[in-house]
Amino acid sequence: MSTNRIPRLARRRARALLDQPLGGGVADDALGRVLAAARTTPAADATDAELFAVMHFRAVTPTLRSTARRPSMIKSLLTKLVATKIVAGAAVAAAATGGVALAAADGQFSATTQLAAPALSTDAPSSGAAGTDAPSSDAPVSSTPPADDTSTAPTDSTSPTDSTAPTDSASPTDTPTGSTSPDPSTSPSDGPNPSLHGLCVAFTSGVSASHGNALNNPAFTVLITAAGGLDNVGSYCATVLGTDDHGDGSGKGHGHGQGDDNGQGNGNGQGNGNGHGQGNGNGNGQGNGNGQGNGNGQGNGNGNGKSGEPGTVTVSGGATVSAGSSGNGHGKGHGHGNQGDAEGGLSLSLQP
Amino acid sequence: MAGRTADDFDATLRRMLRGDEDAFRTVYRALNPALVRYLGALVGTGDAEDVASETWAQVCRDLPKFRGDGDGFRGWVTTIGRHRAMDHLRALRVRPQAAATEAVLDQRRAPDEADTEALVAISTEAAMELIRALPQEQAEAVLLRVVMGLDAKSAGRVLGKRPGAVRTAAYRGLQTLAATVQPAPAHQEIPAAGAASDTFRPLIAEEVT
Repeated sequence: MSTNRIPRLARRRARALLDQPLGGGVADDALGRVLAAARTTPAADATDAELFAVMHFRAVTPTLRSTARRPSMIKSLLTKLVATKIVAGAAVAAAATGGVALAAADGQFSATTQLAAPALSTDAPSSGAAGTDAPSSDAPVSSTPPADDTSTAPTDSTSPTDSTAPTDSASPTDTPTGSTSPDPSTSPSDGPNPSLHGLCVAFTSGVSASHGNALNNPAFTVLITAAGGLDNVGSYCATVLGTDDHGDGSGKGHGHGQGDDNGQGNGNGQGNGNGHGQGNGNGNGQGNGNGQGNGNGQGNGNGNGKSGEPGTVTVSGGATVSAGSSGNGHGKGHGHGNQGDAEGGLSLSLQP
Repeated sequence: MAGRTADDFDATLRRMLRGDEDAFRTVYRALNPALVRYLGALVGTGDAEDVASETWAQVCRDLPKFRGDGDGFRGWVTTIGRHRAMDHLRALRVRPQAAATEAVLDQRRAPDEADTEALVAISTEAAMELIRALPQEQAEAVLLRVVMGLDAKSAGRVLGKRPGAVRTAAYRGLQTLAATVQPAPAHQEIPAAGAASDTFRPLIAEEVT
């Protein structure tokens, strides 16, 4: 359109419109209103995307804190080195938390914990599950409360990454490895332990997808022990799952692996469940990671079930998401990896 | 960005840079909606959130290296976002904005209640559609200045252009926008000015009365 048919926009007016502070501004004409609308910041609730970003933030929290307190080159170098080593654990951690999610899908969780802080649940069943995973020592599901701030356990305990580092000096007391004694005893129910149930779900799904090597996952150690041997796992799980008449769950997980020269990564998963009935689900996923500072993968999945057998969703990228032991399950996951090469990593694929 | 709000933001940013997660969330919530909008103009609204997520991932990774205040941070995040958007487009081998423009035009052709709604208020999405429909250079300048809240200098840095070039592009963008949404003299029909004028004519009419 030709500009001479409309009133010319004065430069000064234009500058005023452009310079208006964010979130403010008087929209006294159509153009002003358009610009004001374009700069509106809606009130935001925590979203998956935010959670995703927060995961990444947690990964650098230790570095930020240590630089803030002690701007020593040596210290930050050390942190980076630790971070590099940690990444190796990330993929495993993610897989382990998959176990958590599965375990959780047994009706022990309240759905409200979902967004709180994926990896840092304080729920007893969750830490129990973390205990079962303890051999891999990753357990991002530590006993650390989610809303950790700088005052508590200043170094690193908020970061899932760090809990994988035994060398982390700051929080020896919180180290998840302390909870190696698995928790069957702590289970409130007299039925099968929730985490065992979850492991059985994972086992059953994994086996049927001819991924029997899932049992090599340290997370299954407890299951094998409980069943009284590798050969008995099948029948043991048949019993465990057979007695289950509850289940309705959802799980969410995020996993991230990033690798560069420093290498950082973390993986998290959370699940919760509740309910009854027998369910069925399906899902699939892929995961891989390696021990060299790279977690890699992308995926997302969804599980949803009705009558039948339990379903899980595993998503990778260092992310494992499991959803729903039975009844209904939903899982969502994101995994992102940068500059990673996956080698010799853990691969877990669960399908009904 | 000036005054108390800016000071608050700077303070929050400093806490974030010391590792405070709540502060990070605050910063994220303050910037992400704008970032998503800006990226939406580059990669299309469908992919904007993903690119924004990638942006935050990189922002976090590089956070220990960041030095600066709130304005600097905003520009820094925007630059990273733009790079991620370009990577994304390269991966797709799509030229910037092509997809978005198509989507926008399609939406405009679809009849909806916009005719009545525009009388009351213009939604953020409608405003973004108008801005995205500008020639890309203008659109981006307006977005950086208005949506991301960057000054001309920072916006120039993001774009790799001189501040003067950004000022000109933003000014032209506003002129084009004004021509679209503000009344022509004597309220004459604006011939074939693009689909936007149809949807937003009620807004124009309102301005006249």
